Amino acid sequence: METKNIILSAKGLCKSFAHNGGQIHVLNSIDLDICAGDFTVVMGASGSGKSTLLYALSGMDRATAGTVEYHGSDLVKMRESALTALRRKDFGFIFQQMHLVSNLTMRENITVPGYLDKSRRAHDVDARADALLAQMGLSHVAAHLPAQCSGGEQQRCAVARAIIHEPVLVFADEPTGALNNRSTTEVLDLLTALNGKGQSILMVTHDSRAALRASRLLYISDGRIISELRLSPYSPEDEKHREAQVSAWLAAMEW
Amino acid sequence: MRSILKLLGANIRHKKGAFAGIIILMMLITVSYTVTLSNNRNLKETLVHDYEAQGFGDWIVPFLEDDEFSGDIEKLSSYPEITKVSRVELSSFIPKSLLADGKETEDFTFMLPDSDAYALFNADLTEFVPHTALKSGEVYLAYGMHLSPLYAVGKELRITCDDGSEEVFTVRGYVQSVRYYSNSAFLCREDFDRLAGKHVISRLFDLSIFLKAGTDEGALREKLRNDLEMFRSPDIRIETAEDFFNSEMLVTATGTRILGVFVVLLVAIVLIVLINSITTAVETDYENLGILKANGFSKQQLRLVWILQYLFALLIGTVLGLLISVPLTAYFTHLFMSISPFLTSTRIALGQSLLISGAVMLLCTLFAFLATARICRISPVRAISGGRSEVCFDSRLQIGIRRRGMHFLTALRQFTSRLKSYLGCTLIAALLVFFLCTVSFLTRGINSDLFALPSGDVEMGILGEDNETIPQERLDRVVAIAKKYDAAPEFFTMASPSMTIEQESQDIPVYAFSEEWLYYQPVEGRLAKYDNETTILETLARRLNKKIGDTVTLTNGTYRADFVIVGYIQTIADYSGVCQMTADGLKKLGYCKPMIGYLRLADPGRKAEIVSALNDELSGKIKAWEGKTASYVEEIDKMIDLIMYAVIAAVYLVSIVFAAVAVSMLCRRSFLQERTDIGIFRAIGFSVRELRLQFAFRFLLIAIPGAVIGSVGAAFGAKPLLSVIMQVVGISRFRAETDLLVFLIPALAICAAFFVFAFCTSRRVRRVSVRALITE
Repeated sequence: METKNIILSAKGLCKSFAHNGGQIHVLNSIDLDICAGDFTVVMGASGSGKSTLLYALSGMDRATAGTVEYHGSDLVKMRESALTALRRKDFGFIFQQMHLVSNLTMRENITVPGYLDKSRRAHDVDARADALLAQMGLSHVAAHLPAQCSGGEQQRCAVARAIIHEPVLVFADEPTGALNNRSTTEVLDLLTALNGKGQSILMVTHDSRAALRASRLLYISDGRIISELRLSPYSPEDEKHREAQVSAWLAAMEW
Repeated sequence: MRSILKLLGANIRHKKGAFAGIIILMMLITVSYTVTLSNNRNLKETLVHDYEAQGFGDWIVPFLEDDEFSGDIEKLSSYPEITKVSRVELSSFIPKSLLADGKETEDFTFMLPDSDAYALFNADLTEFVPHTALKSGEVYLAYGMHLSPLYAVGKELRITCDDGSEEVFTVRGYVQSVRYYSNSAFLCREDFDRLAGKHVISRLFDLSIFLKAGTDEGALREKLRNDLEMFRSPDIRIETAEDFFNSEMLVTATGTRILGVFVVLLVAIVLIVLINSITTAVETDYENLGILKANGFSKQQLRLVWILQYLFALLIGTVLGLLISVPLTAYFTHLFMSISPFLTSTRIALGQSLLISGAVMLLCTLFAFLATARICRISPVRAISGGRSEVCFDSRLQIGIRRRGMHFLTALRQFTSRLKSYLGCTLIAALLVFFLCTVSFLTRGINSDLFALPSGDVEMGILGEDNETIPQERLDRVVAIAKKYDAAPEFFTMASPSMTIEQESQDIPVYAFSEEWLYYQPVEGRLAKYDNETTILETLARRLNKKIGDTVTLTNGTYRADFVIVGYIQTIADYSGVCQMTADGLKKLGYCKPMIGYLRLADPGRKAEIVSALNDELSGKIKAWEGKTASYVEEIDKMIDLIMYAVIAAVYLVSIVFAAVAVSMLCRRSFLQERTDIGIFRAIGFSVRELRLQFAFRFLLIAIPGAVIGSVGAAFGAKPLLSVIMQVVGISRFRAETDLLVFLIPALAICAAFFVFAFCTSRRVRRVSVRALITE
């Protein structure tokens, strides 16, 4: 049943780095399927390979071995131009440090990637950007430069940028890592709301509060996925129960 | 010291690009001045050596052998200012006819007795070989004649003498004569004397006067004029060694001046690049420098490392430049022989080049010292705890980014966000465009008009005894003969005796034409209309410290008269000095006869018949020949074109290479500073090509204001600058046609170079991995 909804599938994914004449194996033969509509959260200790897994799955970095299949194409062997096309149409990225282009306004940071997808009319991109700005509560800072906005505003802008082209899958790397409590909640609410509308999300995080929003939790250690926890869709009313469930799971992982 | 050397090595390893860039720029500069200075010095050395070896002194006075002044010549040795008086024997060549390789020719003017003072060329004309004495029936020719196949080695010269006898000579080779480098043949003594006996040649000599060092030549000239009749004779003309050298060095001296300006601009570009490079490096190494400071390195030690690094690069550039200059100097020496008839040494001017390199390095060191001052301001605590502050963007441009023209608009935003950091690059573009525009003006302004002398389809020497007035009847007769063959011949005459102006030692030509339109157009004032007026070369007026309205004294033998300057002229043909006045003005100086007559024909097709008729009907009164106007002007134009094409090619090449290196270094700086932005752009879907295009557009936007500044600068400054440079060749007010192309072509070339090189340099965008954006 589940295979019908698979949008990204990794098989035997390995990533090694040369170091002092030897090899460091960061990912060790990972098999992983990402399904449509999932809010997948990858957790693990520092250096466990979770960010490396995110790069490899998103095509930002090439795996040393294995395959990452997306719509029948292997991202590992894909040409750079094809990967660029994927980023324009199918994938969205959210970074821990926001990484907004500092000399573009908040609105331009959202519209510019939208313009790259030539199948969309510029007018539609502008309209969607304005809608997203309103949705994210950013309309009042639309003409501001990122440096003139708060961290939370910047990260919400980054989220809007990641979904301007209505991607199939959003990759988020510690999106709340650089935010204060209030902003963290704002961003997590936003991602949860997106997921509630069917947006597939793959997020790497250290933050157990972020993990509560997941529908699927993966724990990675020494380059292997050693455990998985399936959760029901997030609802605020259910938070205490989820917290207990996740805490127990993380404790089992010696988190 | 060891730690400093270690740091130096590490710096060079990690900044190979900047290091190589400075090496390349310094190498180009070194090559530019070394090759020019070497050619300049080698030519001068050759001229000085040959001039002395061939017996020429500080003053040369051309004389007829049977001149009446033999007593005066003997007296010259008694003057304390004169150390030696000698003669260089030659003759004017006046055969009845001359066939070269079976074809009639009038190419020979002088014949000289051969001597080992004339260096003999090898068969390839690439070097000298030991001089071999000529046998009877053999001739050496002046180097300048090798261009014509009629005078190839082994060809025959058949001379018909007045008595009908024939003399046959075989061309044996080519020699280098410092004063007689074209239209001259060299014979063995036996043949020379025999031809003199047959009146095929008329004996002449150059009286060579050697002066004591420090002699006031003007005062001596005046003293000799008072004491000796020969110096009062209107037919005696003094040529000075200084003027001779100036004349032969004309092209290289001008080239050196132009190159001097170019080198100054290039050095300015190197300084800009150097400062940019240091600024970038300090920014990118901010944390390392903080750590080094925290570990006990003093700011002076750190600055020393950086200064040594650039000094080292400059030194390598200088050495490489000198090495490359060796074959290039030889190549240009060979090329230069097509313009200058002298084979010079191919040694490089090491001393002069090292001196200039030293000065450039000193200047660069000073600027490097100033630019590294920011190292002093680095706080170790701040550097270690997070590094430099983020790049500040301060664009006030309100143009929003739209899909249409998105890459250009993004580039515009990037450019306007950090305007200050691109100032250096804009300045480089401005300097290059300014120089290219200046060269465009130069190539447009230099043409045969600046060299032109009066000319006609038929030209004739008007013969007369001494200084007799030529009867009008004879001139009318010339027109009458011409009218038999041509519907509307125009006839005019020119007198151009040499006279002394304001007691200068060098005589200058004074022109009087029968038609006003023949004169050079005055650059200020007007032409002389009355017999007390003169128009003079502007550079001569400056030398004499005279202005329009001032009076100058001209002396011709015993005649002396004052003339009011009414205008300035300019010409390369008589760059050291020239005057124009009316024929009546010349009469006040005791000069009555026109020297040359010119016929301009409605149909030049029958000029040979007119020449023949004139020579037959006015035999002994005139000697006519076919004007070589077209070919003369053509030759000058060809020579100018050759030089100008070479200049343009060299200047554009060096400018483009400079633009390439400068853009590459500055682009690298932007690249280092915006690595994260590039990563972001790639992560959100920009392709490598699009990002490269953004870089290219940004550097185009940097180049455009530079091109505008350079063009505006050239519009106002190029001609005055060229006037200063060209003063040495008699051009006081450089004139050239100005149209949009003069500015457009250099501006487009530099803008295109910036665009293309930025696009090429930014290929390293490929290497930016998006994963760099992700924080572990």
